[in-house]
Amino acid sequence: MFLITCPYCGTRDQSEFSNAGEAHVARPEKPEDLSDEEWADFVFLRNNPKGLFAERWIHTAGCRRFFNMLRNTATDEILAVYKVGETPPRVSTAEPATPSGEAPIGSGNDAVKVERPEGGE
Amino acid sequence: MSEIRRRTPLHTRKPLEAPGGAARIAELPFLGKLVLRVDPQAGSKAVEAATGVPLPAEACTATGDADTAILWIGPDEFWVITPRDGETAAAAALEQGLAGLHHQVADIGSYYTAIEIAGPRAREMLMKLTMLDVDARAFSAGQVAGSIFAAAQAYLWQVTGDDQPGGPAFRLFVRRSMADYMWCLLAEAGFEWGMPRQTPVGGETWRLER
Amino acid sequence: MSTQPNRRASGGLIDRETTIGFRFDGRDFTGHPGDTLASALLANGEHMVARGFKYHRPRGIFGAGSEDPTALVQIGGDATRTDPNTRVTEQEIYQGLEARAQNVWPSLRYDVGAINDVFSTFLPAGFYYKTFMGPLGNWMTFEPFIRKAAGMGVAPDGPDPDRYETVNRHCDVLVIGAGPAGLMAAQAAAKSGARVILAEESAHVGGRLLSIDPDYTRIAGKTPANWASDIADDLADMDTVTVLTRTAAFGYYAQNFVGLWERVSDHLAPADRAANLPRQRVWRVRAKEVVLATGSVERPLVFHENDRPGIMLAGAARTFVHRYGVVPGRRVLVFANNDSAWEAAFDLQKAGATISGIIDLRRDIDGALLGKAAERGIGIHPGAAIVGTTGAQRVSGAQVRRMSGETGVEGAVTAIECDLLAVSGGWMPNVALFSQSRGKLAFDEDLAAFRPGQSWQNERSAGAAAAVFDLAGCLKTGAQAGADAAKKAGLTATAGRMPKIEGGERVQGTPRVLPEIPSGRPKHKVRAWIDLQDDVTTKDIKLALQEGYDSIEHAKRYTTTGMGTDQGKVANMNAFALVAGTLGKPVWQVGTTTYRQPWKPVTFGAIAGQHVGAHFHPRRTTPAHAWHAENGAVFEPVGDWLRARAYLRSGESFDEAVQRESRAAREHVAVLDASTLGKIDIRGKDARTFLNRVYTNAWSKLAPGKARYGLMLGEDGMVMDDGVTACIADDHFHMTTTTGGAASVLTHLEDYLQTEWTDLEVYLTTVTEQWSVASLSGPDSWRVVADLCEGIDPDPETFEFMRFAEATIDGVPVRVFRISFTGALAYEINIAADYGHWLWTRVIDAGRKYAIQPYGTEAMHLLRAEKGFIIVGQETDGTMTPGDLRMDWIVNDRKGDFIGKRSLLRSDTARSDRKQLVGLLTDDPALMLEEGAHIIATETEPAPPVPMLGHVTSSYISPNLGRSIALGVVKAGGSRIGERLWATRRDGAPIPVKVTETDFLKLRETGDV
Repeated sequence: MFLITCPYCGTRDQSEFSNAGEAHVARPEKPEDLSDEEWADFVFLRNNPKGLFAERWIHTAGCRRFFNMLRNTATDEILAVYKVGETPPRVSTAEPATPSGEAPIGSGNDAVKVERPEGGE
Repeated sequence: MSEIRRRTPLHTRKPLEAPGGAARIAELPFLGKLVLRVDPQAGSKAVEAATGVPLPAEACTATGDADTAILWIGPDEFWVITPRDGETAAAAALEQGLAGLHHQVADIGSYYTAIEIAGPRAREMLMKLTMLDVDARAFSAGQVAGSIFAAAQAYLWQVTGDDQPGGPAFRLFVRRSMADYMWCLLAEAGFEWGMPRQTPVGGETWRLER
Repeated sequence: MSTQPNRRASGGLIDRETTIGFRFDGRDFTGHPGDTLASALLANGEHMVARGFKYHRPRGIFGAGSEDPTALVQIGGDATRTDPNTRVTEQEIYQGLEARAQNVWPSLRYDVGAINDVFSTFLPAGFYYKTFMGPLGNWMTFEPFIRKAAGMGVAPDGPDPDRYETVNRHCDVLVIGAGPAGLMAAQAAAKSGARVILAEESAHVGGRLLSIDPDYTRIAGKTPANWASDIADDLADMDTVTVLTRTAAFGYYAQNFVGLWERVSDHLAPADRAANLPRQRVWRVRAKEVVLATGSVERPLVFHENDRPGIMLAGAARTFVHRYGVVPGRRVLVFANNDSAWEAAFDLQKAGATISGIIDLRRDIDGALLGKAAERGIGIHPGAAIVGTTGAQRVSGAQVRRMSGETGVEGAVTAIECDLLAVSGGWMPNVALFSQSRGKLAFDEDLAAFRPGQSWQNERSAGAAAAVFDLAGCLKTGAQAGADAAKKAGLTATAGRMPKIEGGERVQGTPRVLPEIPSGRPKHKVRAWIDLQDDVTTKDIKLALQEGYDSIEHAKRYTTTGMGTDQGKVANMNAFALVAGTLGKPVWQVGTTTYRQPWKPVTFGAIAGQHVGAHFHPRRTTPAHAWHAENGAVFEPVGDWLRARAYLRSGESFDEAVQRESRAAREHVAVLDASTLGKIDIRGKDARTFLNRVYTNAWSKLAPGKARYGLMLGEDGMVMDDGVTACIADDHFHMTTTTGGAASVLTHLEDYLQTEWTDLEVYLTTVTEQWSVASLSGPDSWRVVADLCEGIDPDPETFEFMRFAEATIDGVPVRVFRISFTGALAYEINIAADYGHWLWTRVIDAGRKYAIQPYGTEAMHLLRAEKGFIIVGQETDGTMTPGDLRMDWIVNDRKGDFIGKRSLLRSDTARSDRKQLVGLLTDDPALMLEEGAHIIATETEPAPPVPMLGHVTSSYISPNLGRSIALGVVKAGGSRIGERLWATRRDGAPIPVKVTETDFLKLRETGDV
């Protein structure tokens, strides 16, 4: 269970919240002008990166507000929360070197359980 | 034939107390409850004029007193609590005061009921049901929070402080259909201090197959 | 005078004044309060308590606490309360305790399964995979027999009679472990005013302090045990501190969320357990900061025949001496690779045992130790190793040879008699919780073990958990960790003054760690155990590596090492080292297996807590529920709701009731409790615009006092919900949703308002349970409404379909809607839910003269199917567009954009051969199709793959049509009206059906049915 800081209510347990998918995917202004492919891209395709990800959450049990979160999905580190309409803040986080790699710490996966001694190969 | 016209969801449940006043629970029947949606910047004066209570300036707090209060629920969402049968007048006053301003007043007096949870062990009872930090350092008189209590969503309001005789008093606003579930789990939580256990309403015949 | 032969006259946390009787494996024993089952059995000279998992070899007590791998027994005689796999080293005894050996038949001492040991050569690593793979070894055939032979202990039978509880706590500092470091940490943090929780796994605080000789050490002038309990008492007196004993931290999760498992009353006889307390509790702790003072675990030595009862960790032997006042052996041989075991030898000798020798792998021993051994007349064997042991059900002796280099032995074999072999391979920081917290482990070359490295969460380790083993260091790092944690939690804290230490104990020094101890025997004749619980030997691990399972995680699974209920607490490090040694890699490169939650097995009861039985989940009921229950209703769960499905009269079957109710709802009048429908109050000047965008049809012209049916799509164009929305005023609407869709529809609508259409002035508030709803159907329904309600004339001639009006009943306001889900004349009366029960009884009373009947959801489903109305979730499955439902009439193309509109034009959704909703009528009117039955185009079922046209979505016997009816979705169904198709069935030939329109009532009117 994470702790999530609702931008309105403060820090609460994850059980009060629901995830609502990728953030900053605006509904096209004029859907009728889009090709099938462009529309399908909006409706069906979402990014799902291992690493830094902007996603939406709702404080379901609290104030019922949607808000945005920057989370490192490789480590579950919550880097920022901000209100709908706000620009995502700049954050830095250690990301996996490759899409299937591991962050240097925090993933709990085999590759990063043990420290590599200096000069260790 | 005598008929009961108006029933709270817990009308069959009698108040419960743990020996020595360690904790007690009771339904507070028929409190007036209104949802008020308004931009607080635009509506605060009108709301105060209509209800006599200012809108809470801070998130997750309440203004007013145990009888008439306004609870912060969301940035443009409030609950107006009134004494029994006070909601009709309050709603009318709000509608009148907020006329011309984007707002919503919805009666939820029947939707939710209030369970008072009070006494020196009240906090520990709540801790058995919620991940919300209800320690006295984190949650004090005048605070409000929507959270999850056991498997139900509910709103918690601490009405009186820990320094009051008989200990702190909380009100838990729970959906009508979940009130009996919550009541019985609260009694179960108080069992440690001698509160009598309660059996949820049940025993109906189910039919699952076609 | 004690009758327990190995009980010391004094010492330990034992109340010798009171004697407790208990039973183990059919024999009666005594012990004292303060004893664990292990210490009490050892006091009685019993070492053998179990048998191995695989070879059924005798197993003894190896550790003294939660690290013990193999001394597992079944507790309790009552089948509902019995607990398998209970460690004797943790279970405290109480009067009347009953324990049994498990995994044995017929008895612990004479066990038929021990035959496996004779055939051990045929049970290599990966035995099951090799034997039962492929055509020859048919797993399905053998599985039942293997299952019978496998498993440990017996699960309890029947509902658990005990209470359990889950509690939540937030704190500033959680300290895990109440040894010297943990106590100092808790003290330092508590002094700052922080909210502190101190959790200790065992029954007493003190940790390792309880295992050292109290005659030699003083802390702040007190014996170690007294110092520890005084600190804990002071802490417990503080309002801000919670001290929990018998409480293990079992899982370290994200953001300092830690699970604690408290065994509240397992140490008490059932009669003595407080009735108001649960048997066990799970504490779900959210800590700002955590101090891990989890101590260390002693490492076994891996040598030939190291598994006999009576072979015990040296530190455990000391614990039995000092904490429990038990001498676990009379003739003790010590085998070590470090200094700490020498102290064990001295202590055991002081406690009355004869030390038959100290064998140390190291050639160079500290002079002081040599001196002490000489003073005590203890024979020593530096640079030597045990190469084998003897003894059937308890060790009786060992053979010793001189070490030759790292991997060999030489010289003569010396046989030494003993009844206890105390072994020590050094001490390893207990890093399980640290690793669970996702911190990185560092390999410590001196310890040849892992210690905490880089932290990931807000925690720090102290004392032996941080590889600080000396007492002064434990106190100091503990205090520093506590102060640091409190500071990070936002308080002002200092480590404070260190208590004065007098005496103190010798710690391990630098151990000489060998992955496996040479025996000089041929490889295939060596049986050296790595994992005593899972019966994994060095041979098994080497075989796994030889067969290519050279990743540590693969080797673990292939051999099952570390996979038992102890999760390899003492075994794993030796397994990692052996893998590293065999592969010629450094240990850090081999890495570790995962230190998975839970640290030790937690009962399901504790995890479920109080949320069981009637308290399991909210059962949502409507205001009139009691009436339904009293009037023959059988219920069905709809989401969390319980809805009356049908009202059975005396002697009536369910189906008969449904038929009767369905007729009543068309022939005169029937009433349904529709309170569970979702309801949303919509307010704001842009409400119409909003409705236009969220429904497929147009809302601009709906006048106040009117209602309209709407279909709601997802952005993918698929039907997600439907319902009727009424206009109360130009800026005020009342929307209804399906029962199951109430919450998700509100979230869906809020999503658009909050994130897309922020310019719209619309507020949404759920009023689902504010209104209780009685839905009256049938030609007489308006008469009931007219008799009941004031301020409204419901005459269908004047109060048209889809009208809505406000009225009163005895002065109580109601909203009356003329809407119909049955196709019959129908009205809905909405009333504030506080009056819901009263409304229902008033409707029943008022309807009596029209022979009103209550009807349930089953009849409701049937009635709407007669009319061809859909149920979202029954006729739809997330892939149905309005066109697929052949409801194109409800899609308004001209009103502008709405959610899902663009998707309806996609090439796939615009296809004409999509599955479409149609009616299906069987030739035989008495034959009812099965819901879910496939629709095919041929009279007989062709060979698979069967080309399928669609399936039946709803099927009933309709009393009003006097025949069976069905709805279904069929490819290009709209163009197949009148066609003959077939519906499959499980037993029998496909059933011929005619494709029809969906409104069966209309078909009857036109004579088409």
